[in-house]
Amino acid sequence: MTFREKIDWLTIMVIGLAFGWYALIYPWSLRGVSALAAQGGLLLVVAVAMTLVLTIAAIALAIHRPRDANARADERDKDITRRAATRAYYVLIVGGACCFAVGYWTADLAIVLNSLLGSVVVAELVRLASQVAAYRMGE
Amino acid sequence: MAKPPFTNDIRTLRFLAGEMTQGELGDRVGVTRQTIAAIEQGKYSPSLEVAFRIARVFGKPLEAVFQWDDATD
Repeated sequence: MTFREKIDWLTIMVIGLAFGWYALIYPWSLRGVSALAAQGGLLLVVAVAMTLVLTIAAIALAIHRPRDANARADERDKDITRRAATRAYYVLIVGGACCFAVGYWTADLAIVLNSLLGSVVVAELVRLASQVAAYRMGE
Repeated sequence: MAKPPFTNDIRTLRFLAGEMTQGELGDRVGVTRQTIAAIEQGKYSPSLEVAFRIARVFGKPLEAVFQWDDATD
């Protein structure tokens, strides 16, 4: 397994855990300004925790296999990245359209922003999963 | 991804070149071991530059390494 694939697996797990926790802990009953404050606070915690965990894990992996970590992306890596980003782009576009629908349905800004956040998270998971799948299938 | 319409003899040529490993070939070509494995298995079509680099490592012309497969054309 290449360093890039390991980082992709790690990021999938960290994003899944971080935003799974966010969705569980978020006070969905709150409305208005207090809901936005809760969203901002939780997002800050999630962002800091994700950055810390991913940085520490990436450093540990790089120390374990420095040659792999320093290897530049070759043409196949770039091709896999490009195809995964294209798939994620379509998911993001559909997610954005769904956010417009949610905004039409509810006037609560926190719900709309959480929908947008959900679209970004799902698109990122699709991008990472596409990359992992391509590496696994040896494409 | 669709199988490319050509086959290759990289595995044989590696064997004839003193059982060169995929990693060694990858290092000399400038790609990863996984990319060489994917090319060997016909799962990835290399760029013209990488194809020429592979052929140059073995000291062979391009068509001695990659052959057009009329059956899948």
